[in-house]
Amino acid sequence: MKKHRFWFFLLILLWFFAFFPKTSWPQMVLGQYEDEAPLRTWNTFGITTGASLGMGKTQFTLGSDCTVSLTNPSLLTKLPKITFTVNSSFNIAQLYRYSIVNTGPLYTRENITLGLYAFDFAGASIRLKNWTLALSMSLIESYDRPRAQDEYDPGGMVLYRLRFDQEGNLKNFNFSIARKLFGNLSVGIGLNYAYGRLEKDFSEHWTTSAIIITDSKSHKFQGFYINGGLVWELADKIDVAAVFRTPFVKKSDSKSILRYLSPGGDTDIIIEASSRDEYKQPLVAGLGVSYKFSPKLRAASDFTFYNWSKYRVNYFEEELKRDFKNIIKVGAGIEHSSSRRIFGQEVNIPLRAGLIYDPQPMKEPDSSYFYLSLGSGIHWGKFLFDLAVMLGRESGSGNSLTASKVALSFSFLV
Amino acid sequence: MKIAIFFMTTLCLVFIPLKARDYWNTEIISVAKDQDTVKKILEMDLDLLMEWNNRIYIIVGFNDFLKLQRENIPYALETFNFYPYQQREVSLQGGLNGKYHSYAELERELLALQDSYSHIARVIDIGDSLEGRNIYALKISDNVYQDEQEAEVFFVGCHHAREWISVEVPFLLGKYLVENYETNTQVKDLVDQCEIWIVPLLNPDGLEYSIHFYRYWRKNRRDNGDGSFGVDPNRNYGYNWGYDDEGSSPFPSSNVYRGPSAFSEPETQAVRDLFEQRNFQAVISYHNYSQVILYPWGYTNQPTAEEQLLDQIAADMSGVMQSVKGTVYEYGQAGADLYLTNGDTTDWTFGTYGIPSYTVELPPIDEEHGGFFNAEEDIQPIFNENLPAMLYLIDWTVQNFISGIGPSTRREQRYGPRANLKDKTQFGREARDEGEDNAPAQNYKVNYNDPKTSGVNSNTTDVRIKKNRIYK
Repeated sequence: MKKHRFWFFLLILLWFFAFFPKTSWPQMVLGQYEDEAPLRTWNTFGITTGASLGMGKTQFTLGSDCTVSLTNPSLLTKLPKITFTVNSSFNIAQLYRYSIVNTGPLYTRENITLGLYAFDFAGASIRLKNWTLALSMSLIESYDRPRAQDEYDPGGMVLYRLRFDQEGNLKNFNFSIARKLFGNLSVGIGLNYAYGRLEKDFSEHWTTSAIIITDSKSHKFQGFYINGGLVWELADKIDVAAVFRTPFVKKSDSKSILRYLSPGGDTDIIIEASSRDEYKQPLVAGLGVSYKFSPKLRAASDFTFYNWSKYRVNYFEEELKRDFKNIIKVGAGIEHSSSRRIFGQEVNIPLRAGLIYDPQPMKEPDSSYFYLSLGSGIHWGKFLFDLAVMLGRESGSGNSLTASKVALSFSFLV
Repeated sequence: MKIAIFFMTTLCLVFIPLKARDYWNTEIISVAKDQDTVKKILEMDLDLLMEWNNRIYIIVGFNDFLKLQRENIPYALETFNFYPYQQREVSLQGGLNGKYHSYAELERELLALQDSYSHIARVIDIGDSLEGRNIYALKISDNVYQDEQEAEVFFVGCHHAREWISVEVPFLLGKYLVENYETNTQVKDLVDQCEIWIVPLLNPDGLEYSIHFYRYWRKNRRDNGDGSFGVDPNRNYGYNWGYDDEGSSPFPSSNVYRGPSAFSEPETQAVRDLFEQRNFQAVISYHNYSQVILYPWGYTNQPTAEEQLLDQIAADMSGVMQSVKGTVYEYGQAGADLYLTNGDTTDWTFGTYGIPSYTVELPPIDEEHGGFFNAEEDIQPIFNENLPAMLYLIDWTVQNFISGIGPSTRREQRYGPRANLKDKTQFGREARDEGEDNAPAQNYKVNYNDPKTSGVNSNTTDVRIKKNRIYK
């Protein structure tokens, strides 16, 4: 009966996640105005949970929940027999330049601060003899942009109105399998189906002449890729890992409608287009290492290579220029655990700190984020609660953008 | 069997009337311009179109054909000269901008024209935009890789990013000339006697931004450093640049920002450098909207010393355009009839080189009918109605070309030594006080008071601009 409750609970949450992935206001890419730029950083790979964020986003050698299936599935072998995890995050980020904002018709004198709430992961894993299986859904990228509106209203009467809005996201369905091979070597592989949408709407309205210009673009994405990795316990104290994500083509069914409507002149000009676009996503490869100083103290570091120089965009039958360079993202963190008795039960309380260096792929401007992260949690029997905060600042664009993130994850272990 | 007969009958019923309707449409013919023929056709009260290459062009219907046959007047069918020989859809397009050209699409098509007609077409990169895109010129002439002592004429489009139709019209001219060179004697004559330079897309960065982000973007993509973007290339030329703040703006956020100095932008530098190397005799710069033909000056409402010539050529161009399908292009002096502009292309080409210079504002006529928008299906008709004017101007340059008079000679005739010109260019405000309008009239032209087509647009309306328009 307990097992049935668990699976029922899991299904309800998976269903909830699948149909109500709520994102509100997101981020942008520095110094560029590409619509397809993901939230805050181009360098997405997996999901950052409360536990990993606190340790500088290290995920390749350490894992306490099934989010590892998105980065290094081999770590699934180290999890308890059954796990269930949900994660949510809240981002506060500044942005300066995106789409028509600060590139032409609209400009601001300062950075724009935005917030994003995302319920971004739900998944479960189960170990069956030598094999561990995991199933998850996640929200891996957001393409939302802050809405913009400009009005000209001398004397309180609106004569002109401009509106811009863009929203979208990329979700990921992952099935992973892992097993211990021999000795202390584990391997794992994940099959991923990514799908999502991006909708961008722009309108201009001259109220006196009733002239309306609208420009709507919509994209439906889908793509398939494989991720995998291995982890090797070199000694009792040292683990090393290697991970990869294959390059893949994010295909898009795209539509565009540009319209000029002037009832006074009986004019209705429509230029429609549809195309099969392609976003050739780059190979991601990484190395990780962790060291256990003592049973209560451990440290980890991840190095992630993004092959952005191979990034290509074919957009409405035109190859768009993306002058990108390969980058290596680095994260490092340390964790100290202590035990307390709460309500008569032994509770493990980890304290974490980390640093992240996250260079962006654009050659111009040469921009990077530097983050400091802090985290903690409560590991209480079969329940894990992890919370982390990340604070960062960007340099290179000249706009000194700040970014912060709060991640909260909950896991149930059997 | 019954069904087959039914369908065959239906098909015949559908197609026969369509064919019949087209068969007796009006045509354009030409007759030899001799005294006897002129006398006869004047008596017939025919719809005269233009005079060109010692032939008279006439718009005729079925009854007019009968009249000509009765009088035994030989004629040649010329309709295909006024429409593209092959009325094909513009190829390659279909993206966000529909049948309009993006930078990449235009680049491909220009290079394809060069490949297909390499003996008469040559693509030349005349400079790079701010974002590094090539600014292409299509040179069309016989012996295209040689500089010959021939008339030269310059057509340019898309100073302003949102004016997509202004790319298409000059591009289609180039396409028309090379595709009809072998089959059309008049086109061959013009191409053989003239070097025709076409820059369909002067502002590629702005056009790309207009296609991908903001349809109504006008300027280039200069980052002005104060949060605003763009310099208006058509306010950045060096003749009386920054003359006042009405004809252009000193404020970077303005849509008519003239830039920090004359020729500060690579796009206008490319045109300036090309003119330094060439010997152009006439210019048309394409824009939209308004459906007008404008000539200098733009910076003042005072007329030029060559008002009569400029006005006559504009009238003739307007006439032949109207004759195609009745579209009226009003004409007049830019500064007097539309709005003041300083630092624009045609003030510079006329003020510096003394050549007939026109801004053609393509359709639609006003904002209610589309503003800077044109439907895709309007591209070809708008080109069709502009083609006779383009051919007319090319012919005018051929007829008025005097070998050996280059731009430097012309400048000196007009302004004196070159150093003075530079002073004018660099210090536009000071130049105003030097009274360049009082400079002696140029004297290099032949037929100065006898434009070749005077009087032939008898059935067109006088469409001189009579009212001011509000600048958008």
